[in-house]
Amino acid sequence: MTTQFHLQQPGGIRRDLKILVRYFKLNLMSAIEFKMGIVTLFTNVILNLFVWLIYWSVILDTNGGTFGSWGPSELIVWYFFTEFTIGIFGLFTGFATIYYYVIETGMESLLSKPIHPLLDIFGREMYFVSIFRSIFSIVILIAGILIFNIKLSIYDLFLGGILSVCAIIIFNCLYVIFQTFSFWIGNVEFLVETLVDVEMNFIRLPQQFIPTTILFSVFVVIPVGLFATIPTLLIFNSALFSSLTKIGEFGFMMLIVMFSILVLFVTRSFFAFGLQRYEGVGE
Amino acid sequence: MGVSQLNFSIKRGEKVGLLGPNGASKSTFVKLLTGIIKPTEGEILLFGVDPFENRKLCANNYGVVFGNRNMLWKHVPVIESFKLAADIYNIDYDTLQERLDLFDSILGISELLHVAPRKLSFGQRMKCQISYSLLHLPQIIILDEATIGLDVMVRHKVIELLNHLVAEEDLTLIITSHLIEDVDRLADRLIILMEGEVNYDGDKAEFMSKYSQSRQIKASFLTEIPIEIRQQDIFKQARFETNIIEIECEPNKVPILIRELSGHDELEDITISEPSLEVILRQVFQENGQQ
Repeated sequence: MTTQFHLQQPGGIRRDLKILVRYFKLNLMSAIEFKMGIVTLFTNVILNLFVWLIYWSVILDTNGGTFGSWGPSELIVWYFFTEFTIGIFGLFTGFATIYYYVIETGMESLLSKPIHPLLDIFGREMYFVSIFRSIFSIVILIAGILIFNIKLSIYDLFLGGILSVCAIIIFNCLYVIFQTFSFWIGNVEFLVETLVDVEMNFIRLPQQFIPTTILFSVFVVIPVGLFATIPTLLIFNSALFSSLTKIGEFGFMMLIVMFSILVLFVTRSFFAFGLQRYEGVGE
Repeated sequence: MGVSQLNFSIKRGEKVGLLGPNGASKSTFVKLLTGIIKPTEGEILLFGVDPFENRKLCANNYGVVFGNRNMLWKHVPVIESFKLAADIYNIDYDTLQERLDLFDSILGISELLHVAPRKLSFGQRMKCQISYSLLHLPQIIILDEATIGLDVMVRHKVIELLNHLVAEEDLTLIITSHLIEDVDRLADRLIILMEGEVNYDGDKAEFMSKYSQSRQIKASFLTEIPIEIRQQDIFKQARFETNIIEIECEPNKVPILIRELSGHDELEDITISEPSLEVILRQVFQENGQQ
């Protein structure tokens, strides 16, 4: 048969990037089609900011302007990293639906295309409106810099940004690993919800509520700490950071980057392993 | 239900109908062939390679349409999904336009391209879905219950498109459907599956002549059917309506029956036909204990 067919090779990384851009465009168009989704998100973000401001104003007022070692500057940067990363993280919500493809709707329409199914799930199920949350967090950071005269260098933001990206990679890899278990055990919805609840509760805790070493260990093991608290620590308390890690802030960042890449490969292989057990879903 | 004892090959340019009762593993076979699932035993090759291990390469060269599975983006105009498909299959926009013109000339999709799929009827959506899946003019077209739920007109158009593509582009076609009529109009070769095993594999015409052991005679009368016809032994197995008689008989009995019927002045019309593929398959399935 081979000699009679002239096979077209599937595209490589350049084509995948082109597809990725197309997915963003399609998701933006879908988001614009339902403008109420954008309005609802903005309302949610502004109300959350309002509550957050009241909450921390009261705490800072009753503690003489600081809480632990954190003042308004640290809190604003912490808020920025949290919201910015959660906003970006929202783009990856598709990975929470893998189990649904496996046991309910079927992966047939994903697997019959010459692209990686995870890329397709990411593109199709993106919560695109979430990106406005990140944009809003940048506005708040700029406002904070102007009001509180926060000293932030490009290098600080670079280090923090890299850690946030790593956090997103590690966190999503955990998601995919949990979801891949659906090839063996079926419905993993509650398993994943538990993971989200635990991690999202951690993400909202500033360092003062937990002894630093425990917090540090837990936040690196459970990567949500990399979303916001670790980057904030790294920017405002690099001495503490260096004494804890012994390898310096840049070394720590490189370690996390390498760990993220490792996790990415392990996840990809584990998903491919799970895919071998896929049995299909009848119409 | 799993497949077992499947051993056949399909050559380039063949038009194969894969038939079988519910649970015969037709869809499982399609999923194995397209690399969606991995066989637990045995070997399956598509384009000479393992489709599961080379899924992307194979998927780039086949086009599969699953009935009731939507690949279009629900909330954006259909044309945007086609642009995505063009990116996936590395189709430049001039070629995309040419292909859309081709699909439009047969299926009439041009007016649907600027509407979001959620606003389209099922038939309109399937026209777009089928065009989407065939946009890259795959070397092998695989249809798994693709025409199910479509009305007669849309099915007719889809079959016209498929016949056109297979003839003009020298493509290979594999179709599974409960709508035997569609298989009949598209396939030259039949593979009949029963409980995961091949029951028949060969030319459709040979299958028809092998299993077509009866003829159907239908006669209509200007008045009620004469009583002497009803009383004749030769018409004992016939089905009677007021002025219509239907008889299923062996081919050698046809001349006698025609002679008997044509002796009556009230006879208006008479037709003799071979049973359809659907009727034959029903007999084959029943003989094999299938419902």
